[in-house]
Amino acid sequence: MKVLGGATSDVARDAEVNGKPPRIAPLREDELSQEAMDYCTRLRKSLGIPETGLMPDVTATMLRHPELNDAQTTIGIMLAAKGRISMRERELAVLRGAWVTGAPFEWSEHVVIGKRVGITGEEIERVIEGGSALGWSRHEGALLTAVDELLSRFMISDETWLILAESWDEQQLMEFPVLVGVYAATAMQQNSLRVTTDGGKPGLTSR
Amino acid sequence: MELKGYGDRLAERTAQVVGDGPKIAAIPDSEMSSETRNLVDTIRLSAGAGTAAEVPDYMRTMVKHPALFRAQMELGTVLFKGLISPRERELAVLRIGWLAGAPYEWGEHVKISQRYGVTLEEIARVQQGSAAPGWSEHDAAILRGVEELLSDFAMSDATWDILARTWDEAQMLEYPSMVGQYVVTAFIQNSVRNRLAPENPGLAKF
Repeated sequence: MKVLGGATSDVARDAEVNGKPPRIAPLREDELSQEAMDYCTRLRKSLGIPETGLMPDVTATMLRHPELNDAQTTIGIMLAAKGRISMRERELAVLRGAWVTGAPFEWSEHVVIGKRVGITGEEIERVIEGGSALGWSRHEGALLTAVDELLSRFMISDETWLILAESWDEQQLMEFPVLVGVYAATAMQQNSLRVTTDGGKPGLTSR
Repeated sequence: MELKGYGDRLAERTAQVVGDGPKIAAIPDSEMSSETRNLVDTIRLSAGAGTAAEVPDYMRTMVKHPALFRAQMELGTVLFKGLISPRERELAVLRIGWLAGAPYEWGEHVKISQRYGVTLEEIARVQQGSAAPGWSEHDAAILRGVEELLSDFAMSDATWDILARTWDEAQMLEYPSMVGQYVVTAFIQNSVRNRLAPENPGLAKF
């Protein structure tokens, strides 16, 4: 199973993605409208991200395409706030996806968010190992394996689906591939833009 | 990193994806609420399709999760009305559907892409990919960007630079997200095994 977007290590992938400057510059503060600022406050609140007073570079970049940014974050908010999949399950899936796609920004953000919803440092190491690591419940092992299956073969296998269907209903079963895909799309975009972490935080080396 | 695709094992892939039928049943067309039908019609109009009599299987399944359906369809609508031209978008989506071994998505976009000027010869050439002779440099880069994003989850400098000669920053922002959203569609349609419409050719070599 190829991980880290095919790079040999987290350090190597961080250099691959963020070793060069961002391809598109963030809008400057004086270029941002009040509407844009208010929008970011709403987004931050729905994801439980604390107020720091600074708009992240990634957001200030995405605001160059306001309609797309709005639609992308709408689905993100929907999955976070109105999703049927639990927060813990969601963060496990997003973390595994960020690791497989080698997405420094997404990984570093979700190490923080994941810990906020109770994922331990030991579990984060186990996410790096994947769904077959010892210690996962049957359901969580299948969840992580399903992430790998989607990202490498664009579908969930019958075996994995059956295990997930032991715990999940139809809405959750439909929501899961969308969740994995939306975060993979975000990784594709952020990796391509070479979005930097805030304040020089570590990328894929975050634990 | 090389992404094999499924071109040399179409029958196997089709059986795997379509095989035993849907894992989640679609709501019968007659049971769709008028509110849902209106939402679907709005999306279909913005996609350049008519408000056809029957709602596609995929949509009649996704409506079982109304909040998810609405959010996904709204994102799809933004992309349909997006800054990247429909023809360029369809080239990308065809390449995604083919590489992802996604019969529903590939087959639907064989039909949709022709609405926007993609020829049958070009559809066949998409199956061969960015390296096939005959593409403009820009169109080849659209396809190669898909190949890179689906295998490496990032775009190379070379591909980025070629696209950025024609596209502005907002279009460059849109492109990887657009590719990603059609990967989302492949994920769900493949995993749920939505039934193909009768005229959908599925994964056939052109």
